[in-house]
Amino acid sequence: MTSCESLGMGLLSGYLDHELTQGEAQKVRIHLENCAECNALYEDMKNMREVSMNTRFKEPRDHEWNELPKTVAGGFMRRLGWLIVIVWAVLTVGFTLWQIAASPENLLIKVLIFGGLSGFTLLFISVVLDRLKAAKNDPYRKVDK
Amino acid sequence: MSFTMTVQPEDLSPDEGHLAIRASKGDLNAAGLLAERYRRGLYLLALQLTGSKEDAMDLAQETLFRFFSKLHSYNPSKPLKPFLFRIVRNLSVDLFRKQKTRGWENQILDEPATGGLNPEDALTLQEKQKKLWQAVNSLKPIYREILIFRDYQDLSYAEIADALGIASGTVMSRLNKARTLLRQAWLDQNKEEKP
Repeated sequence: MTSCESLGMGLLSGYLDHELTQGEAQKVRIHLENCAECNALYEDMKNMREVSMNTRFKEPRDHEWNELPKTVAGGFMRRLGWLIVIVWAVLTVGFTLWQIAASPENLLIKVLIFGGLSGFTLLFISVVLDRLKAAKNDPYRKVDK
Repeated sequence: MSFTMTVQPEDLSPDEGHLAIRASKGDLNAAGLLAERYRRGLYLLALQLTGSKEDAMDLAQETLFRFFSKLHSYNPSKPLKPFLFRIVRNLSVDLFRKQKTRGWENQILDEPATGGLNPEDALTLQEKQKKLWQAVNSLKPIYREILIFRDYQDLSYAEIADALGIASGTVMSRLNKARTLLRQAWLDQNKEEKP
């Protein structure tokens, strides 16, 4: 006869999920008829599975699916686009600063232009980063205006 | 090259393997059809594994990107669902490992389908589902994920074995252990509520 221990090794779940052979299932059935403890465990497992199976999870609304890139290629392009924009911005700012540094203007003018440009660039990047973060975490962004 | 999401009626009959082969050869309709067919399932699995709607959306998309960019590693004679679920699962493990998850949300369960139930019974069922989900989330990841695959996604043991990369026998014993622990967690929860 099947023991409680062998049921604990997986047979009970296999029986519940109809994953046992006919012979194994028969042995488990007989054991459950004679063992109140295993039978209670089996009934609870069955009950929990039914509750789980009927649980529904919230799905995105149609417009949320639509906010995603509509094509796989579109998604790749979006990523590539961002990469190119970032590289472009870094190169442009770097080149401009290098041009200023290499120009024959006197040091004070260089410092003024360099400082002003660097300051504005950093401020602009920080504002963009803050806006992006806020947009991502804004709890009201899905509320219709 | 673009994979359009337009589903053509004549594409509804071919099985997944054929669609995947066609997609790997650059058939845009086939790739689009696969993406559209699976994105909902991938999203739901990712939501259950991460507990965050935004993480789930990102993971579902990332899974499709990876699938399309690595079509050559997919064997079309095998079912596609466990293959994709394995990608979602691995991505979610990475997310937790790098501690980049956006955190658990409390409101991811939807109202239950209440066909034939009176409002009181529907409310009781909803409470039961909520508590059971809390109990599932209190388990170790190794047990949580297998319960999600079996009891929330209804995958067979063979599919779970494929998705997790373990033997079928291990699925059975691990699932049994997970259910025993879940039952204990559920009973403890009920005890706490009835002092």
